[in-house]
Amino acid sequence: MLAKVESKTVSGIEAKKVEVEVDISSGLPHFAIVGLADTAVKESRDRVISAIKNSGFKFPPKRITINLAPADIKKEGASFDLPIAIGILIANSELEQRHVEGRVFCGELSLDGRLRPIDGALPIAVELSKNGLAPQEAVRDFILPHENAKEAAIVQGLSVYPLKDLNEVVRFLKGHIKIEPQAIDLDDIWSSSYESDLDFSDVKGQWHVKRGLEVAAAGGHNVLMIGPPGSGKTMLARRLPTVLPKLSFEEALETTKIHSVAGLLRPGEISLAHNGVLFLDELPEFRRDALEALRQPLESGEVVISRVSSTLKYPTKFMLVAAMNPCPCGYFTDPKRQCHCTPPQVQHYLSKISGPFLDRIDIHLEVPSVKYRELSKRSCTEGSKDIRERIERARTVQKERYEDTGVYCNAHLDSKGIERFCVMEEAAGELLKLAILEIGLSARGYDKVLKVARTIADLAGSELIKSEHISEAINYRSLDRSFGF
Amino acid sequence: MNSSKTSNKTLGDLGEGLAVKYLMRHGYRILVRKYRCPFGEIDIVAQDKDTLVFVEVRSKCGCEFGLPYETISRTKKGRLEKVALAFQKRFNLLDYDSRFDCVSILFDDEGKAIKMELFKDAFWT
Repeated sequence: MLAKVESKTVSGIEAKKVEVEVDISSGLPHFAIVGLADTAVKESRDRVISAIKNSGFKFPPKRITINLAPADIKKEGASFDLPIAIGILIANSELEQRHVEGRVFCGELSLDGRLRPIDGALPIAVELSKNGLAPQEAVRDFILPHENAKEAAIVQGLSVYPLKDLNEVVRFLKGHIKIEPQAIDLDDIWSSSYESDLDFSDVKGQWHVKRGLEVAAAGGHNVLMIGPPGSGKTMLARRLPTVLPKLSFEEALETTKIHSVAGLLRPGEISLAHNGVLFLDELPEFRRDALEALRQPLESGEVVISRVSSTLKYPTKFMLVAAMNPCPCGYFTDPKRQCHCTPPQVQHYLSKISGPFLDRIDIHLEVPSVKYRELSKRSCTEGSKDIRERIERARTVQKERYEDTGVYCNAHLDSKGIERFCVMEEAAGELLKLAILEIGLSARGYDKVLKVARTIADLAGSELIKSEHISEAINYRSLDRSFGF
Repeated sequence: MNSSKTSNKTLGDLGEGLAVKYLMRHGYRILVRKYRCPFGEIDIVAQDKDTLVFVEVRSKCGCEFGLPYETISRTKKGRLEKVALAFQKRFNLLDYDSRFDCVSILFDDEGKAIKMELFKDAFWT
């Protein structure tokens, strides 16, 4: 007797359809799983046998062959336990094939038949809502462990059924019990955003740096902060997420998809920072090859991992925030304290960060140590809320401008986009030309200055980039000159 | 050495006789005893309702080295599978439901059976 049950597997952050075919025939008792299954899938044999027996169903000694089709996709994880068990129950005439039509099953089984949560429920749900709808099927049902139901129910256009154990699944499929699809209030989720205790007003002084970070957040630009120890680099970076605009639904969905599969295929730190901030403190202390490996994802917004069996792509559109000291002792730029590093030492320290890497950072900020006058002043600086409002306004302008180009913010503009959207005044163009000749900006540096200037203009509410915007943007890049990078 | 081998063989024969009686009492129809083929030997081939059952009898004296039913090794399982397949092929029974059972008999030092257990569907190939 043959049974077919539909399931999904996650590859990268996309889900793929997997058909679980179960054939039971007479002969010497035998249980085999075929179809490029990894160890966790092969082991599902023992879990499924125990779970079926312990749920009170018969498990006759027969020749059982499980095929996971298509055979060329690598199947990983334990999420096929449930579809395999359901397939065996159908082939055993415990259930009927019509019970599973138009339904998709995912879930790990424990030995007593309880369903355990799986990784990657969200990407699967997204995939189902996208193209799972065959025209003849009015409703698409997604049956999965109840711990995962909330995560998957965020996706509209399919019914997500939360279930606790195998017995309940069988009774539900037969129609003996009624289970409501998981309902979720999206507005409720949006309103319950995370509130941080940190605030920009905690940082005293550092006007220049705060303004730089505001520009960076408004345009999603990468930032490098250089300054002596204790000047507040880490403190400032920690407060940066408090002024970031809220994610749009699509951004939040994509980011959550990455986190949803994080247990399974292990996207790394930079992919987990997608649509957020990646903060690298003490930048020169990172291994050089690790930093150089960041260059490609910084540029293309995605990281490609090639393995023997497949090539995976993870989105990595993050804002890089790095902090470093100007020299090994830290006081090279400090006006008061004496730096006791030798010039070769300083040179060696700075050379740990390569020019090409630095070129990918739009904004360089020099963080001076705070003066006593500013430290002792009572806090009267503006809080994160005000800054965030300005930033959100600038982001809205960008979003409207880049509608249907697939770009969210200025930092993600490509060279064609820069040509199209970064229109300068004549005087501003002259100023930029002068700067390139004087400082010797690279071609990429030219693009970065324009992008940053675009953001500054957006913050100022100007559609045209004026010369004051260009000069501020150049100011944020002049660090490569003063430190001799 | 020789005597211990003989006694083990006697013990096995003794156990097999007991197992046959036990199985018949439980509704099995005995088809063949000691089925031999080039691949090896199966102690009992029986029929339980519609199912063909290959029974391995394990007799043991004392349990210092594990209980009788624990002594079926992976190699032994592989050999049993081959013999079972050969049997099915020889008598054209390949389409029948079939399974492996194990009868485990523990003897005391005087050769008296003190414990007999039947494991239905003892292992899978």
